[in-house]
Amino acid sequence: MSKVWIIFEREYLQRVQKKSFILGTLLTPLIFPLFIFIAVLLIESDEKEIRRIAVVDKSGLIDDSLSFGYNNMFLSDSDINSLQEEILSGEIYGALDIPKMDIYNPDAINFYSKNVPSSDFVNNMERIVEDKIKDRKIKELNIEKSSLEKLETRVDMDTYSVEENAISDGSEMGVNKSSSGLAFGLGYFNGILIYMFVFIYGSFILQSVLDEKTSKVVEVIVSSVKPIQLMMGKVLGVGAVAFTQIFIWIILVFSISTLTSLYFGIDTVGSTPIPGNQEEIDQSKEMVAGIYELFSSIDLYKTIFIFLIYFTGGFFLYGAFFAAIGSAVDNLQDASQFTLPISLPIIASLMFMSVILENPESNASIFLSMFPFTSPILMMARLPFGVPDWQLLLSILLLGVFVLFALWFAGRIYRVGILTSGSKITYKLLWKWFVMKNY
Amino acid sequence: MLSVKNISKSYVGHKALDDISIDIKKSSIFGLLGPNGAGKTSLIRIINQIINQDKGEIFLNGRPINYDDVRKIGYMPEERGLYKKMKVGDFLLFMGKLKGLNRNQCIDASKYWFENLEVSNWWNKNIEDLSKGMSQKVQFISTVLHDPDLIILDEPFSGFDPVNANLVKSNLLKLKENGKTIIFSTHRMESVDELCDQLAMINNSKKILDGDTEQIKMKYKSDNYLIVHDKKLKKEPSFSIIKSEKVSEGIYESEVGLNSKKSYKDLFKVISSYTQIISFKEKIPNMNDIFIMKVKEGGKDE
Repeated sequence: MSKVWIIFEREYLQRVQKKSFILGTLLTPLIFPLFIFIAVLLIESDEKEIRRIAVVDKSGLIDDSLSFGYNNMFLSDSDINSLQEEILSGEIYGALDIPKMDIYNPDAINFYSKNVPSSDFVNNMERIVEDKIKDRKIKELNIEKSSLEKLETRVDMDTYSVEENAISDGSEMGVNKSSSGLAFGLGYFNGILIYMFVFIYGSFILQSVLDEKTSKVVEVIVSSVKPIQLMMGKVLGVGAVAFTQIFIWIILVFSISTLTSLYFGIDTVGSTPIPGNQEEIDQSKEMVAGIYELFSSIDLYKTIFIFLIYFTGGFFLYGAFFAAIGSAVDNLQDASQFTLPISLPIIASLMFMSVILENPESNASIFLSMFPFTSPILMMARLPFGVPDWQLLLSILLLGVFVLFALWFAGRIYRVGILTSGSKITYKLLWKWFVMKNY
Repeated sequence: MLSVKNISKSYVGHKALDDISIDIKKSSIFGLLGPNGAGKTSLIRIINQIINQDKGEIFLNGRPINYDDVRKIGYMPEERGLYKKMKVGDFLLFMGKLKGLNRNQCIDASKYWFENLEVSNWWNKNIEDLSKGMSQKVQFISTVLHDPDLIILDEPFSGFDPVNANLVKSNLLKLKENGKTIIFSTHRMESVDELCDQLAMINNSKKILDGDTEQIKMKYKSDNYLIVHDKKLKKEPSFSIIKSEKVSEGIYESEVGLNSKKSYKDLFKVISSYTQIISFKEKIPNMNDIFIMKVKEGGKDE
């Protein structure tokens, strides 16, 4: 055991002292907000340009100039076919053609532009025309606008999940406010996080084993350590590095978000609010409070605890295979033919994730969140929607059994692989190594 | 001290060792000789329990070797590498700890060996900055750091320049004087005569010869004599001239074989009667010659 510790210690210290680790750990949480910031900046700078849109309206639907966003619409008397020149030269962004038509059966409304407009833009245009047609219909059908407005109803439904342990007294149901949107987001986030870590750190293991093999340092070490101890120390060491990184990220994200919210909080209070915007501020405050309420509905400690279990399980399951591959091949190029089949379940998990998130209680979802090769990612995706305890336990148990099997399997390949160079590695040969009694 | 009894080992497709037995005495240097691919490394790996034999047993001090014994062996493999990104000191600490030393013991032992191998203090040097010879020395230090009683070195002299090879040789002799047992393998058989007390030769997975170095040399000497003299040799029935050449004016170098029932005294008498002998010595075959001789015999005997 102490030898595993010595291997572990070296692997861990070597990795966390690397400049690339320190920089990557500290900068990654900053990079994502930076990307978003840059994207927002780009979009804003883009839309500042005012587009002119000619409207050729033969039905007389649009009677005044309209604008939305940075798009200004103006009525044009010219024939739609004569606008080609202006569209191509960029003088106008595009032309909306509304022919004479039956408003109960609107047809042949077209938009012409040089570039393909965004779907958002098209939706906006459609909404404008729809509204105008609706106004016309109201007028023609002699409907009072006020009574029509009374007909319009908007319902906001809050969803609550019924909790067994939240029953306070007999009169009220024990509930927690829930949000399928939040569950979706959280599920996605959890799944992606595990996917990323299993992949990145799995290839670290592969690289590390391969380096030891190619630099021939491994034989010096296996004279004092059993190969399985070496492998375990290495997988544990790399795993601990991953844990360290997650831990630092959690702290960083918490402190950054706290700092930024503090900063913006002070900003909105400190600067004189623009009159009339008070309502907006109140609204956003309400929204933030709502989000906080939703988050408090999630059992954060339970989520983190289960995340760590699946993270550990997924990491060891795949880490073992990556270690076996690293021990068998002689260089990184040869490794790719074996990493592909191993990576397939991980990549497939990512693709299945949207299925699971759409329908977290389907049979497929239950199966995939049990199957050990997909469960680390997919059970984490399912978790925010509520998973029965027995399913969770069974899934973890299966994962545990498979992890042990994977480590045993990998260990048998590893003991031969690390000392064998120069042979062409095939699945048949790997199998021979696996079943070899004396090595 | 160490007995290897009837060891056989097969890999997928070929036989690496075929019924090998050797005995190694305490406080001696044992040479394991043979060309590349003969099976030396496999045997050494089996002794170190890195791989398992198919048949046979290894005994240490009379009882079967176990994992704790192996941990005490100082083993330097043929293909030896270092962690490039580590400092020399950290690497030696790591290796020492794996052998059960604590930090201070590692530091003290490293200092001792830095002095012995005539290197300045490399403790804080990066391994990737070391030359090949320097890396070899670090390897050697990491092998003997824990003061092992049994030291096994696979091709220890490859990678060393002659000066450093001699430095290592003299350190091996010093270790032997201190009661350590050393096994080393080499495919450069001519270089080991002066170093090993006992040896075994392996060719094509079989042991073809073993025993005391001096005895082997005596057994395989050819009764040829190397003579330096000042006049051309005359042909005689009692000996045959294998080769004779004029090195410079008045100096000839000759190799002469005795014919049956004659001794070197007869040879000396005959030649010295007409030429002045500058030197006269028996040609002792080196291990390479003996190896070639044994391979040519092709397993006719033994």
